[in-house]
Amino acid sequence: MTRPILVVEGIEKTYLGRDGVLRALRDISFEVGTGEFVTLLGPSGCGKTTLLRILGGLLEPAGGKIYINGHLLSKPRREVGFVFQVPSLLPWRTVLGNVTLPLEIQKQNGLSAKEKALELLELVGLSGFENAYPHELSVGMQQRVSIARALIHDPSILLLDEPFASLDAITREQMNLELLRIWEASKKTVVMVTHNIQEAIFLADRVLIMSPRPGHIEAIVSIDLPRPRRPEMVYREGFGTLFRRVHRIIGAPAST
Amino acid sequence: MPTQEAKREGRVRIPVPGPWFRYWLLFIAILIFLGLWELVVYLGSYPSFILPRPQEVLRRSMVVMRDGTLWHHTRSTLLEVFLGLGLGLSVATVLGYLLAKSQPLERLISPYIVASQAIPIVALAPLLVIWFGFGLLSKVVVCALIVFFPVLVNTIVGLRSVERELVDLLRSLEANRWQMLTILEAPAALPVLLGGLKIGVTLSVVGAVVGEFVAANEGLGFLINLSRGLFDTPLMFVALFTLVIIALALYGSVVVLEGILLSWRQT
Repeated sequence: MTRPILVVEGIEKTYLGRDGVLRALRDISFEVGTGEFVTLLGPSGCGKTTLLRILGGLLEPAGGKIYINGHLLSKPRREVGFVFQVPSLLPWRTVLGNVTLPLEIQKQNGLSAKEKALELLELVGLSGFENAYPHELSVGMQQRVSIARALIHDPSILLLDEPFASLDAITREQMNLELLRIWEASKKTVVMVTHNIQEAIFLADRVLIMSPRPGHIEAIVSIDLPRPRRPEMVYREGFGTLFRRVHRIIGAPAST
Repeated sequence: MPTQEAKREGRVRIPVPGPWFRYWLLFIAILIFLGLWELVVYLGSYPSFILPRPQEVLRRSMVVMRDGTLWHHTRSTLLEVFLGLGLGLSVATVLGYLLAKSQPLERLISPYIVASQAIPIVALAPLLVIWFGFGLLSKVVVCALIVFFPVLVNTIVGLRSVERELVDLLRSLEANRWQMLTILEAPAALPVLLGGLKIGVTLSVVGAVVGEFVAANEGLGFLINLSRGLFDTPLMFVALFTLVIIALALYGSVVVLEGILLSWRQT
Protein backbone atom coordinates (compact mmCIF):
# COMPACT_ATOMS: atom_id res chain seq x y z
CA MET A 1 0.00 0.00 0.00
CA THR A 2 1.15 3.53 -0.79
CA ARG A 3 1.48 6.18 1.91
CA PRO A 4 -1.83 6.23 3.82
CA ILE A 5 -3.92 9.34 3.24
CA LEU A 6 -6.63 8.31 5.65
CA VAL A 7 -5.93 6.68 8.98
CA VAL A 8 -8.81 5.49 11.14
CA GLU A 9 -8.03 4.44 14.71
CA GLY A 10 -10.47 2.77 17.06
CA ILE A 11 -13.64 4.63 16.07
CA GLU A 12 -16.58 4.08 18.41
CA LYS A 13 -20.08 5.41 18.04
CA THR A 14 -23.00 5.09 20.42
CA TYR A 15 -26.55 6.40 20.26
CA LEU A 16 -28.92 7.01 23.11
CA GLY A 17 -31.81 4.69 22.23
CA ARG A 18 -35.13 4.05 23.95
CA ASP A 19 -33.76 1.05 25.83
CA GLY A 20 -30.40 2.45 26.82
CA VAL A 21 -27.21 3.07 24.96
CA LEU A 22 -27.05 1.64 21.47
CA ARG A 23 -23.61 0.75 20.19
CA ALA A 24 -23.48 1.57 16.48
CA LEU A 25 -19.77 1.19 15.74
CA ARG A 26 -17.16 -0.80 17.62
CA ASP A 27 -13.41 -0.27 17.43
CA ILE A 28 -13.10 0.49 13.74
CA SER A 29 -9.55 0.82 12.48
CA PHE A 30 -8.15 0.82 8.97
CA GLU A 31 -5.97 2.79 6.62
CA VAL A 32 -6.53 3.93 3.06
CA GLY A 33 -3.60 4.57 0.74
CA THR A 34 -3.28 7.57 -1.56
CA GLY A 35 -5.14 6.93 -4.79
CA GLU A 36 -6.71 3.76 -3.49
CA PHE A 37 -10.30 2.69 -4.19
CA VAL A 38 -11.83 1.13 -1.10
CA THR A 39 -15.39 -0.14 -0.73
CA LEU A 40 -17.18 -0.50 2.59
CA LEU A 41 -19.46 -3.51 2.24
CA GLY A 42 -22.11 -4.62 4.66
CA PRO A 43 -25.80 -5.29 5.12
CA SER A 44 -28.26 -2.48 5.75
CA GLY A 45 -28.08 -1.12 9.25
CA CYS A 46 -24.48 -2.09 9.92
CA GLY A 47 -23.41 1.52 10.35
CA LYS A 48 -21.71 2.05 6.98
CA THR A 49 -23.32 5.42 6.43
CA THR A 50 -22.65 6.44 10.01
CA LEU A 51 -18.99 5.57 9.52
CA LEU A 52 -18.85 7.54 6.29
CA ARG A 53 -20.42 10.57 7.93
CA ILE A 54 -17.84 10.33 10.69
CA LEU A 55 -15.06 10.14 8.08
CA GLY A 56 -16.46 13.29 6.50
CA GLY A 57 -16.45 15.09 9.84
CA LEU A 58 -20.24 15.47 9.76
CA LEU A 59 -20.75 13.30 12.81
CA GLU A 60 -18.67 13.14 15.94
CA PRO A 61 -17.43 9.71 17.01
CA ALA A 62 -17.76 8.65 20.64
CA GLY A 63 -14.13 7.58 20.62
CA GLY A 64 -11.15 7.08 18.37
CA LYS A 65 -9.24 9.26 15.97
CA ILE A 66 -9.20 9.99 12.26
CA TYR A 67 -6.26 11.47 10.42
CA ILE A 68 -6.50 12.88 6.92
CA ASN A 69 -3.14 13.70 5.36
CA GLY A 70 -1.68 13.44 8.84
CA HIS A 71 -4.08 16.01 10.35
CA LEU A 72 -6.46 15.05 13.12
CA LEU A 73 -10.07 15.39 11.93
CA SER A 74 -12.30 17.39 14.25
CA LYS A 75 -14.77 19.11 11.94
CA PRO A 76 -15.82 18.89 8.28
CA ARG A 77 -12.79 19.40 6.03
CA ARG A 78 -12.54 20.67 2.51
CA GLU A 79 -10.17 17.83 1.61
CA VAL A 80 -13.25 15.65 1.41
CA GLY A 81 -15.79 15.49 -1.39
CA PHE A 82 -19.15 13.96 -0.50
CA VAL A 83 -21.61 12.16 -2.78
CA PHE A 84 -24.84 11.14 -1.06
CA GLN A 85 -27.37 8.38 -1.72
CA VAL A 86 -29.69 10.85 -3.40
CA PRO A 87 -28.29 13.46 -5.78
CA SER A 88 -28.93 16.36 -3.33
CA LEU A 89 -28.78 19.14 -5.88
CA LEU A 90 -30.17 22.61 -5.29
CA PRO A 91 -33.28 22.50 -7.52
CA TRP A 92 -33.27 26.28 -8.12
CA ARG A 93 -29.76 26.25 -9.54
CA THR A 94 -28.68 25.14 -12.97
CA VAL A 95 -26.27 22.24 -13.38
CA LEU A 96 -23.41 24.73 -13.68
CA GLY A 97 -24.52 26.61 -10.55
CA ASN A 98 -24.66 23.34 -8.63
CA VAL A 99 -21.21 22.20 -9.72
CA THR A 100 -19.55 25.52 -8.86
CA LEU A 101 -21.26 25.65 -5.44
CA PRO A 102 -18.25 24.38 -3.44
CA LEU A 103 -15.98 27.01 -4.98
CA GLU A 104 -18.57 29.69 -4.29
CA ILE A 105 -18.70 28.70 -0.63
CA GLN A 106 -14.92 28.72 -0.47
CA LYS A 107 -14.93 32.11 -2.21
CA GLN A 108 -12.89 31.01 -5.19
CA ASN A 109 -15.67 31.76 -7.59
CA GLY A 110 -14.26 33.30 -10.72
CA LEU A 111 -13.99 32.68 -14.40
CA SER A 112 -11.75 29.70 -13.72
CA ALA A 113 -14.55 28.17 -11.64
CA LYS A 114 -16.79 28.03 -14.68
CA GLU A 115 -14.01 26.58 -16.83
CA LYS A 116 -13.26 23.95 -14.23
CA ALA A 117 -16.95 23.08 -13.96
CA LEU A 118 -17.29 22.67 -17.70
CA GLU A 119 -14.22 20.43 -17.73
CA LEU A 120 -15.67 18.25 -14.98
CA LEU A 121 -19.04 18.09 -16.69
CA GLU A 122 -17.23 16.78 -19.72
CA LEU A 123 -15.48 14.22 -17.52
CA VAL A 124 -18.79 12.94 -16.15
CA GLY A 125 -20.32 12.97 -19.64
CA LEU A 126 -22.70 15.88 -19.26
CA SER A 127 -21.28 18.41 -21.72
CA GLY A 128 -24.02 20.65 -23.03
CA PHE A 129 -26.25 20.26 -19.96
CA GLU A 130 -24.70 23.11 -17.96
CA ASN A 131 -27.78 25.34 -18.23
CA ALA A 132 -30.34 22.62 -17.49
CA TYR A 133 -32.12 22.46 -14.14
CA PRO A 134 -31.81 19.28 -12.04
CA HIS A 135 -35.45 18.28 -12.52
CA GLU A 136 -34.88 18.19 -16.27
CA LEU A 137 -32.29 15.41 -15.83
CA SER A 138 -32.68 11.73 -15.02
CA VAL A 139 -31.59 10.54 -11.58
CA GLY A 140 -28.46 8.99 -13.10
CA MET A 141 -27.54 12.28 -14.72
CA GLN A 142 -28.25 14.14 -11.49
CA GLN A 143 -25.89 11.83 -9.67
CA ARG A 144 -23.21 12.56 -12.28
CA VAL A 145 -23.69 16.24 -11.52
CA SER A 146 -23.14 15.61 -7.83
CA ILE A 147 -19.98 13.65 -8.64
CA ALA A 148 -18.71 16.61 -10.67
CA ARG A 149 -19.63 18.87 -7.75
CA ALA A 150 -17.75 16.64 -5.31
CA LEU A 151 -14.62 16.89 -7.46
CA ILE A 152 -14.54 20.63 -8.19
CA HIS A 153 -12.79 21.87 -5.06
CA ASP A 154 -10.10 19.28 -5.73
CA PRO A 155 -10.55 17.21 -2.56
CA SER A 156 -8.02 14.47 -1.93
CA ILE A 157 -10.66 11.97 -0.78
CA LEU A 158 -14.04 11.21 -2.29
CA LEU A 159 -16.62 9.71 0.06
CA LEU A 160 -19.47 8.01 -1.78
CA ASP A 161 -22.54 6.81 0.14
CA GLU A 162 -24.24 4.19 -2.05
CA PRO A 163 -24.34 6.76 -4.84
CA PHE A 164 -26.10 4.50 -7.34
CA ALA A 165 -28.48 2.72 -4.98
CA SER A 166 -31.49 4.50 -6.44
CA LEU A 167 -30.65 3.55 -10.03
CA ASP A 168 -31.84 0.53 -11.99
CA ALA A 169 -29.39 -2.35 -12.41
CA ILE A 170 -28.40 -1.55 -15.99
CA THR A 171 -27.77 2.15 -15.39
CA ARG A 172 -26.00 1.24 -12.21
CA GLU A 173 -23.51 -0.96 -14.05
CA GLN A 174 -22.83 1.83 -16.54
CA MET A 175 -22.35 4.32 -13.74
CA ASN A 176 -19.87 2.02 -12.02
CA LEU A 177 -17.75 1.87 -15.17
CA GLU A 178 -18.02 5.66 -15.45
CA LEU A 179 -16.97 6.00 -11.85
CA LEU A 180 -13.86 3.88 -12.47
CA ARG A 181 -13.01 5.98 -15.50
CA ILE A 182 -13.45 9.21 -13.49
CA TRP A 183 -11.39 7.76 -10.65
CA GLU A 184 -8.57 6.80 -12.97
CA ALA A 185 -8.64 10.22 -14.67
CA SER A 186 -8.81 12.26 -11.48
CA LYS A 187 -6.43 10.11 -9.37
CA LYS A 188 -8.50 10.63 -6.21
CA THR A 189 -8.72 8.37 -3.21
CA VAL A 190 -12.20 6.87 -3.01
CA VAL A 191 -14.08 5.36 -0.09
CA MET A 192 -17.45 4.06 -1.23
CA VAL A 193 -20.24 2.49 0.79
CA THR A 194 -22.28 -0.27 -0.84
CA HIS A 195 -24.38 -3.28 0.09
CA ASN A 196 -23.82 -4.99 -3.25
CA ILE A 197 -21.09 -7.66 -3.13
CA GLN A 198 -20.45 -7.75 -6.87
CA GLU A 199 -20.20 -3.98 -7.07
CA ALA A 200 -17.89 -3.86 -4.05
CA ILE A 201 -15.47 -6.36 -5.61
CA PHE A 202 -15.67 -5.01 -9.14
CA LEU A 203 -14.72 -1.46 -8.17
CA ALA A 204 -12.30 -1.83 -5.32
CA ASP A 205 -8.64 -2.38 -4.60
CA ARG A 206 -9.74 -3.58 -1.20
CA VAL A 207 -13.13 -4.46 0.25
CA LEU A 208 -13.73 -3.67 3.93
CA ILE A 209 -16.44 -6.01 5.12
CA MET A 210 -18.58 -4.74 7.97
CA SER A 211 -20.78 -6.78 10.24
CA PRO A 212 -23.73 -5.30 12.09
CA ARG A 213 -24.73 -4.50 15.67
CA PRO A 214 -22.37 -3.08 16.62
CA GLY A 215 -20.79 -2.39 13.26
CA HIS A 216 -17.17 -3.35 12.98
CA ILE A 217 -14.69 -4.38 10.30
CA GLU A 218 -15.04 -8.15 9.98
CA ALA A 219 -12.37 -8.63 7.32
CA ILE A 220 -10.42 -6.81 4.66
CA VAL A 221 -10.20 -8.53 1.28
CA SER A 222 -7.64 -7.39 -1.28
CA ILE A 223 -8.93 -7.52 -4.85
CA ASP A 224 -6.06 -8.46 -7.15
CA LEU A 225 -8.00 -8.21 -10.39
CA PRO A 226 -6.14 -6.31 -13.11
CA ARG A 227 -6.95 -2.71 -13.97
CA PRO A 228 -8.69 -1.33 -15.90
CA ARG A 229 -11.65 -3.44 -14.87
CA ARG A 230 -13.95 -4.67 -17.62
CA PRO A 231 -17.57 -5.86 -17.24
CA GLU A 232 -16.73 -9.37 -18.53
CA MET A 233 -14.32 -9.91 -15.62
CA VAL A 234 -17.36 -10.66 -13.51
CA TYR A 235 -17.67 -14.01 -15.33
CA ARG A 236 -14.04 -15.09 -14.96
CA GLU A 237 -12.96 -17.66 -12.40
CA GLY A 238 -10.95 -15.16 -10.30
CA PHE A 239 -14.01 -13.04 -9.69
CA GLY A 240 -16.10 -16.00 -8.63
CA THR A 241 -13.49 -17.06 -6.10
CA LEU A 242 -13.42 -13.57 -4.59
CA PHE A 243 -17.21 -13.41 -4.60
CA ARG A 244 -17.49 -16.70 -2.71
CA ARG A 245 -14.86 -15.61 -0.22
CA VAL A 246 -16.56 -12.30 0.54
CA HIS A 247 -19.87 -14.04 0.62
CA ARG A 248 -18.74 -16.60 3.15
CA ILE A 249 -17.48 -13.82 5.45
CA ILE A 250 -20.76 -11.93 5.29
CA GLY A 251 -22.75 -15.14 5.62
CA ALA A 252 -25.74 -13.68 3.83
CA PRO A 253 -28.04 -15.58 1.47
CA ALA A 254 -26.66 -15.85 -2.07
CA SER A 255 -28.37 -12.85 -3.56
CA THR A 256 -26.93 -9.41 -4.00
CA MET B 1 -28.54 22.74 -27.02
CA PRO B 2 -29.13 19.16 -25.91
CA THR B 3 -31.53 20.14 -23.12
CA GLN B 4 -33.92 21.68 -25.56
CA GLU B 5 -33.49 18.70 -27.82
CA ALA B 6 -34.36 16.45 -24.95
CA LYS B 7 -37.40 18.55 -24.18
CA ARG B 8 -38.70 18.45 -27.70
CA GLU B 9 -38.42 14.73 -28.17
CA GLY B 10 -41.14 12.62 -26.65
CA ARG B 11 -43.30 15.54 -25.53
CA VAL B 12 -46.53 16.21 -27.33
CA ARG B 13 -47.93 19.73 -27.29
CA ILE B 14 -51.54 19.81 -26.22
CA PRO B 15 -53.38 23.03 -27.12
CA VAL B 16 -54.10 24.91 -23.89
CA PRO B 17 -56.53 27.85 -23.73
CA GLY B 18 -54.45 31.04 -23.77
CA PRO B 19 -54.50 33.79 -21.12
CA TRP B 20 -57.18 35.69 -23.10
CA PHE B 21 -59.59 32.90 -22.42
CA ARG B 22 -59.09 33.32 -18.68
CA TYR B 23 -59.66 37.08 -18.93
CA TRP B 24 -62.86 36.41 -20.80
CA LEU B 25 -64.03 34.10 -18.03
CA LEU B 26 -63.26 36.77 -15.44
CA PHE B 27 -65.15 39.35 -17.46
CA ILE B 28 -68.16 37.04 -17.74
CA ALA B 29 -68.05 36.31 -14.01
CA ILE B 30 -68.19 40.03 -13.24
CA LEU B 31 -71.08 40.51 -15.66
CA ILE B 32 -73.05 37.71 -14.03
CA PHE B 33 -72.41 39.21 -10.60
CA LEU B 34 -73.62 42.65 -11.68
CA GLY B 35 -76.64 41.14 -13.40
CA LEU B 36 -77.67 39.18 -10.30
CA TRP B 37 -77.17 42.24 -8.13
CA GLU B 38 -79.38 44.31 -10.42
CA LEU B 39 -81.98 41.54 -10.41
CA VAL B 40 -82.10 41.33 -6.60
CA VAL B 41 -82.63 45.09 -6.31
CA TYR B 42 -85.33 44.94 -9.00
CA LEU B 43 -87.20 41.99 -7.47
CA GLY B 44 -87.01 43.24 -3.89
CA SER B 45 -87.36 46.90 -4.81
CA TYR B 46 -85.02 47.82 -1.95
CA PRO B 47 -84.41 51.44 -1.10
CA SER B 48 -80.94 52.79 -1.86
CA PHE B 49 -79.79 52.87 1.79
CA ILE B 50 -80.35 49.12 2.08
CA LEU B 51 -79.06 47.93 -1.27
CA PRO B 52 -78.17 50.49 -3.94
CA ARG B 53 -78.12 49.59 -7.63
CA PRO B 54 -74.74 49.03 -9.30
CA GLN B 55 -75.08 52.22 -11.38
CA GLU B 56 -75.68 54.22 -8.25
CA VAL B 57 -72.51 52.88 -6.66
CA LEU B 58 -70.63 53.67 -9.85
CA ARG B 59 -71.99 57.23 -9.87
CA ARG B 60 -71.06 57.70 -6.21
CA SER B 61 -67.57 56.41 -6.89
CA MET B 62 -67.13 58.92 -9.73
CA VAL B 63 -68.02 61.75 -7.37
CA VAL B 64 -65.66 60.71 -4.56
CA MET B 65 -62.91 59.99 -7.05
CA ARG B 66 -63.24 63.43 -8.61
CA ASP B 67 -63.26 65.39 -5.35
CA GLY B 68 -60.27 63.43 -4.01
CA THR B 69 -62.08 61.93 -0.98
CA LEU B 70 -61.57 58.36 -2.08
CA TRP B 71 -57.87 58.79 -2.80
CA HIS B 72 -57.33 60.55 0.51
CA HIS B 73 -58.74 57.63 2.48
CA THR B 74 -57.26 54.96 0.24
CA ARG B 75 -53.80 56.48 0.60
CA SER B 76 -54.11 56.45 4.37
CA THR B 77 -55.15 52.77 4.43
CA LEU B 78 -52.43 51.82 1.95
CA LEU B 79 -49.79 53.48 4.12
CA GLU B 80 -50.98 51.51 7.17
CA VAL B 81 -51.04 48.29 5.16
CA PHE B 82 -47.53 48.73 3.75
CA LEU B 83 -45.95 49.76 7.06
CA GLY B 84 -47.83 46.99 8.88
CA LEU B 85 -46.78 44.42 6.32
CA GLY B 86 -43.16 45.58 6.52
CA LEU B 87 -43.13 45.40 10.31
CA GLY B 88 -45.03 42.09 10.53
CA LEU B 89 -42.94 40.43 7.84
CA SER B 90 -39.58 41.43 9.23
CA VAL B 91 -40.37 40.46 12.82
CA ALA B 92 -42.00 37.17 11.71
CA THR B 93 -39.15 36.05 9.44
CA VAL B 94 -36.39 36.94 11.90
CA LEU B 95 -38.20 35.32 14.82
CA GLY B 96 -39.16 32.38 12.60
CA TYR B 97 -35.51 31.81 11.74
CA LEU B 98 -34.50 31.85 15.40
CA LEU B 99 -37.34 29.49 16.42
CA ALA B 100 -36.61 27.09 13.56
CA LYS B 101 -32.95 26.97 14.62
CA SER B 102 -33.45 26.53 18.34
CA GLN B 103 -35.76 23.92 19.84
CA PRO B 104 -35.47 25.29 23.43
CA LEU B 105 -36.31 28.79 22.22
CA GLU B 106 -39.31 27.44 20.35
CA ARG B 107 -40.57 25.62 23.44
CA LEU B 108 -40.07 28.78 25.47
CA ILE B 109 -41.78 31.24 23.14
CA SER B 110 -44.38 29.33 21.15
CA PRO B 111 -46.98 29.16 23.98
CA TYR B 112 -47.07 32.96 24.04
CA ILE B 113 -47.35 33.14 20.28
CA VAL B 114 -50.21 30.66 20.16
CA ALA B 115 -51.92 32.40 23.10
CA SER B 116 -51.66 35.73 21.30
CA GLN B 117 -53.52 34.18 18.39
CA ALA B 118 -56.35 33.00 20.63
CA ILE B 119 -57.37 36.61 21.31
CA PRO B 120 -59.38 38.01 18.40
CA ILE B 121 -57.59 41.00 16.95
CA VAL B 122 -60.86 42.98 17.10
CA ALA B 123 -60.86 42.55 20.86
CA LEU B 124 -57.24 43.57 21.14
CA ALA B 125 -57.44 46.63 18.90
CA PRO B 126 -58.98 49.02 21.49
CA LEU B 127 -56.13 48.23 23.88
CA LEU B 128 -53.58 48.85 21.15
CA VAL B 129 -55.17 52.23 20.44
CA ILE B 130 -54.79 53.14 24.12
CA TRP B 131 -51.14 52.09 24.01
CA PHE B 132 -50.09 53.42 20.64
CA GLY B 133 -52.41 56.42 20.17
CA PHE B 134 -55.09 57.38 17.71
CA GLY B 135 -52.71 57.97 14.83
CA LEU B 136 -50.93 55.82 12.28
CA LEU B 137 -48.89 53.73 14.72
CA SER B 138 -51.79 51.84 16.35
CA LYS B 139 -53.13 50.74 12.90
CA VAL B 140 -49.68 49.66 11.81
CA VAL B 141 -49.34 47.54 14.95
CA VAL B 142 -52.77 45.90 14.49
CA CYS B 143 -51.91 45.19 10.87
CA ALA B 144 -48.45 43.80 11.75
CA LEU B 145 -49.94 41.54 14.44
CA ILE B 146 -52.40 39.95 12.06
CA VAL B 147 -49.73 39.46 9.36
CA PHE B 148 -47.24 38.09 11.84
CA PHE B 149 -48.67 34.65 12.59
CA PRO B 150 -49.12 33.02 9.16
CA VAL B 151 -45.73 34.32 8.04
CA LEU B 152 -44.04 33.10 11.22
CA VAL B 153 -45.52 29.61 10.97
CA ASN B 154 -44.62 29.30 7.30
CA THR B 155 -41.08 30.55 7.90
CA ILE B 156 -40.54 27.83 10.49
CA VAL B 157 -42.13 25.12 8.33
CA GLY B 158 -40.12 26.28 5.30
CA LEU B 159 -36.80 26.31 7.13
CA ARG B 160 -37.46 22.92 8.71
CA SER B 161 -38.23 21.40 5.31
CA VAL B 162 -34.63 21.75 4.10
CA GLU B 163 -33.22 18.32 3.18
CA ARG B 164 -30.68 16.91 5.59
CA GLU B 165 -28.33 15.87 2.78
CA LEU B 166 -28.16 19.44 1.54
CA VAL B 167 -27.35 20.71 5.02
CA ASP B 168 -24.67 18.00 5.29
CA LEU B 169 -23.29 18.99 1.92
CA LEU B 170 -22.88 22.61 2.92
CA ARG B 171 -21.43 21.63 6.27
CA SER B 172 -18.90 19.38 4.55
CA LEU B 173 -17.83 22.41 2.53
CA GLU B 174 -17.40 24.41 5.74
CA ALA B 175 -20.10 26.90 4.86
CA ASN B 176 -20.67 29.53 7.55
CA ARG B 177 -24.06 30.46 8.99
CA TRP B 178 -24.62 33.29 6.55
CA GLN B 179 -23.80 31.10 3.55
CA MET B 180 -26.05 28.37 4.92
CA LEU B 181 -28.89 30.91 5.08
CA THR B 182 -28.37 32.64 1.75
CA ILE B 183 -27.32 29.68 -0.39
CA LEU B 184 -29.55 26.98 1.04
CA GLU B 185 -32.11 27.85 3.70
CA ALA B 186 -33.64 31.03 2.31
CA PRO B 187 -34.19 29.73 -1.24
CA ALA B 188 -35.39 26.37 0.09
CA ALA B 189 -37.89 28.02 2.43
CA LEU B 190 -39.06 30.51 -0.17
CA PRO B 191 -41.97 28.53 -1.70
CA VAL B 192 -43.56 27.94 1.71
CA LEU B 193 -42.74 31.47 2.85
CA LEU B 194 -44.47 32.94 -0.20
CA GLY B 195 -47.51 30.82 0.64
CA GLY B 196 -47.57 32.48 4.07
CA LEU B 197 -47.14 35.87 2.46
CA LYS B 198 -50.21 35.30 0.28
CA ILE B 199 -52.32 34.85 3.40
CA GLY B 200 -50.47 37.68 5.14
CA VAL B 201 -51.11 40.35 2.52
CA THR B 202 -54.85 39.72 2.40
CA LEU B 203 -55.02 39.76 6.20
CA SER B 204 -53.06 43.00 6.31
CA VAL B 205 -56.02 44.82 4.72
CA VAL B 206 -58.29 43.34 7.39
CA GLY B 207 -55.84 44.52 10.06
CA ALA B 208 -55.81 48.08 8.80
CA VAL B 209 -59.60 48.27 8.68
CA VAL B 210 -59.97 46.81 12.17
CA GLY B 211 -57.57 49.46 13.44
CA GLU B 212 -59.50 52.21 11.68
CA PHE B 213 -62.82 50.97 13.02
CA VAL B 214 -61.71 51.47 16.59
CA ALA B 215 -60.47 55.02 16.26
CA ALA B 216 -59.49 56.99 13.20
CA ASN B 217 -60.23 60.12 11.26
CA GLU B 218 -59.15 58.80 7.87
CA GLY B 219 -58.83 55.55 5.96
CA LEU B 220 -61.29 53.27 4.18
CA GLY B 221 -62.43 51.71 7.45
CA PHE B 222 -63.21 55.19 8.73
CA LEU B 223 -65.05 55.93 5.46
CA ILE B 224 -67.25 52.87 5.96
CA ASN B 225 -68.05 53.97 9.51
CA LEU B 226 -68.76 57.46 8.30
CA SER B 227 -71.11 56.39 5.51
CA ARG B 228 -72.95 54.15 7.92
CA GLY B 229 -73.69 57.19 10.08
CA LEU B 230 -74.85 59.15 7.05
CA PHE B 231 -76.91 56.28 5.61
CA ASP B 232 -74.80 56.75 2.49
CA THR B 233 -74.79 53.06 1.55
CA PRO B 234 -73.51 53.66 -2.01
CA LEU B 235 -70.39 55.24 -0.49
CA MET B 236 -70.03 52.24 1.81
CA PHE B 237 -70.05 50.00 -1.25
CA VAL B 238 -67.40 52.19 -2.91
CA ALA B 239 -65.15 51.79 0.13
CA LEU B 240 -65.76 48.02 0.26
CA PHE B 241 -64.91 47.56 -3.41
CA THR B 242 -61.76 49.64 -2.97
CA LEU B 243 -60.69 47.31 -0.16
CA VAL B 244 -61.31 44.32 -2.38
CA ILE B 245 -59.22 45.87 -5.15
CA ILE B 246 -56.35 46.57 -2.73
CA ALA B 247 -56.41 42.98 -1.45
CA LEU B 248 -56.54 41.57 -5.00
CA ALA B 249 -53.67 43.80 -6.11
CA LEU B 250 -51.53 42.76 -3.13
CA TYR B 251 -52.30 39.09 -3.68
CA GLY B 252 -51.59 39.45 -7.39
CA SER B 253 -48.24 41.09 -6.63
CA VAL B 254 -47.22 38.11 -4.51
CA VAL B 255 -48.26 35.76 -7.33
CA VAL B 256 -46.13 37.76 -9.78
CA LEU B 257 -43.25 37.79 -7.31
CA GLU B 258 -43.62 34.03 -6.94
CA GLY B 259 -43.44 33.63 -10.71
CA ILE B 260 -40.19 35.58 -10.82
CA LEU B 261 -38.50 34.05 -7.78
CA LEU B 262 -39.56 30.48 -8.51
CA SER B 263 -39.12 30.71 -12.26
CA TRP B 264 -36.82 27.66 -12.16
CA ARG B 265 -39.87 25.49 -11.53
CA GLN B 266 -41.45 26.27 -14.86
CA THR B 267 -38.51 25.38 -17.10
